[in-house]
Amino acid sequence: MIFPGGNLNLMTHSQIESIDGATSTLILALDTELYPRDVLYAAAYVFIDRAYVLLDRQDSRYVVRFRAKRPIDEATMRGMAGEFENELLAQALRARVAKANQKLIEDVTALAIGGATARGGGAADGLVDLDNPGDDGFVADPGGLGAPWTGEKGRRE
Amino acid sequence: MLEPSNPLEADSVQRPASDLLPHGRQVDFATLSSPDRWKPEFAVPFNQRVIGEKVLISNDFGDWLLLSKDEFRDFVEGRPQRGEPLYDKLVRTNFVAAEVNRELQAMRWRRKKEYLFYGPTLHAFVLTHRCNHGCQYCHSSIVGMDRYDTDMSIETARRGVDIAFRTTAPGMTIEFQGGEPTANWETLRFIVDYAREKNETEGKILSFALVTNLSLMDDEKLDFLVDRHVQICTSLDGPEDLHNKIRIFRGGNSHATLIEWMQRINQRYIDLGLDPNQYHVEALPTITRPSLSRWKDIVDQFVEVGCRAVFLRKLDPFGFAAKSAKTLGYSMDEFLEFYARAVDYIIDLNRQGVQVMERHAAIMLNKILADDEPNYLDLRIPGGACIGQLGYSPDGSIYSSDEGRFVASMGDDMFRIGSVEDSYDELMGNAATRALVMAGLNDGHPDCVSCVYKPWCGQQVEYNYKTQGSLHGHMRDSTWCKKHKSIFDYLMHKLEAADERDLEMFRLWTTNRRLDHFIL
Ligand code: SF4
Repeated sequence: MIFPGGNLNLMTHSQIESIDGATSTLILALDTELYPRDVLYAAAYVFIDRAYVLLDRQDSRYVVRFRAKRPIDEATMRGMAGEFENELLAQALRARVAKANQKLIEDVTALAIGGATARGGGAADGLVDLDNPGDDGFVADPGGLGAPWTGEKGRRE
Repeated sequence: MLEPSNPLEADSVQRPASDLLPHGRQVDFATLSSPDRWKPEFAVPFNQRVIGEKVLISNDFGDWLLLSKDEFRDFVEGRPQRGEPLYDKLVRTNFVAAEVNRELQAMRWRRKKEYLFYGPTLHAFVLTHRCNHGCQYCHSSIVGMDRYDTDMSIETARRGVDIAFRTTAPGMTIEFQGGEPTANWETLRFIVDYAREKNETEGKILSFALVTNLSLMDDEKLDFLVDRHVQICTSLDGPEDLHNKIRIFRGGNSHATLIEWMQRINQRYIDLGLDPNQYHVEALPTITRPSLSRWKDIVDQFVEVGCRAVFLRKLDPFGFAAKSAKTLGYSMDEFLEFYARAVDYIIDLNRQGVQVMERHAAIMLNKILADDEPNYLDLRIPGGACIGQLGYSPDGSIYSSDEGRFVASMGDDMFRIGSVEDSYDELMGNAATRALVMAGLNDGHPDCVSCVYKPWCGQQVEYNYKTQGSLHGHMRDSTWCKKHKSIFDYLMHKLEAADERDLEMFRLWTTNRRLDHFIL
């Protein structure tokens, strides 16, 4: 259990479901309550230069499927499973520290920016609330510049 | 054992192929500490990376420490107690959440991010696309010397200067680029004198920089430039054979002409009573495939002509450079190996008493060791596009940067944010500018948020767009990221192994002396 409040009976780390040397594919599974989804995403992201990563959910488990971009042997895939588990731990630690103390960083930033605005109002004066930006045009995107990019490497869709 | 076995790393875009560049790794948490022992409330949010036998930690304030494995475990588990050396060390570097002085850190943040509170400081005017050189890697859409139609007119220049002066920045540099900017001498003269006149009422901290191949220089031009305090920069690719092989000049010997003028200009500065260590023609090399084996010759050439800094930049993916990639290009791994050899050599020279530094390393060390923000536009957050610099084309188009203009010269106007006909407010407030600024934040990048080098790194949206088709890019397989991460790793390993003498040398590299003579 990496995050407090989870179920103690769950598996304590990710487990190898299958390894297929012919297709260089590794499938791992982990309980959904073991790590928040952001931690899973962050850990999976680390592999995208080496493997195609597919995330899925089956009942109370996340299923993570890696297919290496170049052929690799079974020992290498087992190493990858170990590295993924390690990355989950690293990201979980980051997430827990952020949850505890991210506010401190936000306070400092707000103080720095607020203190420099001419209005001299509250610390966060002048900052746009990205969750609720209103219609001031801050997130208006008439040119479609912010459109998601999912095309083939090196091409815009 | 700190390093997880990772046989796949050799295939990773993230890892340099050469052993000359030791790379950092993820901490092996499985053998270090179990999650039920962690005490997250103890620490300020931080990132980590294994460097040699140590664990490097950094926080968003720009503080960092190299901890032993045991110290890192104690830190993660919140064990250090008041009065213990480790606790004091962590407090001094703002890693203990309960001890952080918010007001002090806010002031520090504001000092380092000062550039966020005002507009662009660098205004690059492309005076013409004409050039008398045919450099094989040249970015710009170069034309022959008879194509006067590609010159910037006086009227366009006037409007450009008017816009540049609208910047809310207290200081600004007008940089002349080309083509060969001295080919449009009339406009250059006009801009210098018009800007100086304007500045009598505007009162900005104004400076000028000219980037020239020096081949059209003459006494009259030099008199003007020296008299008006215009700083002169040039391109020097190395010794004569290497330089002339790439920088093709049908009108003569590019290298010989350049060296002769560098010496004459440097002598003029000496005659003015200026310290030649500080005041001399700055030169930049462009690294091409033939340069890769010539790291020593290139550094020696720079030392010989009196340059104190060598800026080893990788050939970028813009303009003609992309077209000649096959003959002149090389991989990032090849560049990084070249870089490590050259900087190792520079360090050796320093140990022998020769004063020379590598500029990239100096910028990074400035941030790391001197807690400074040199406002180098490619290595700051957000990146310099639009709010740090503007590029003015001869036709009056205004681009996010010089690189944005290079992309345009390849037929893609993605980074054109307006023209000299627009108002400053329109240029700074439009949707494209906002999108470019947002994309230039590394807090929005999945890899950067958990990267130990985030406090000192930066983004260049034009590079991301050109190489990965997206303004944001994806750092995991970005050569931009690889370059910076590898150089940071290289420097951190040097710092980890440094004795007092080496540390002193690196600190010297971070000493910035303002070139007051060039500031009006
Ligand atoms: S670009 Fe790469 S090196 Fe720079 S902060 Fe992002 S992940 Fe780190």
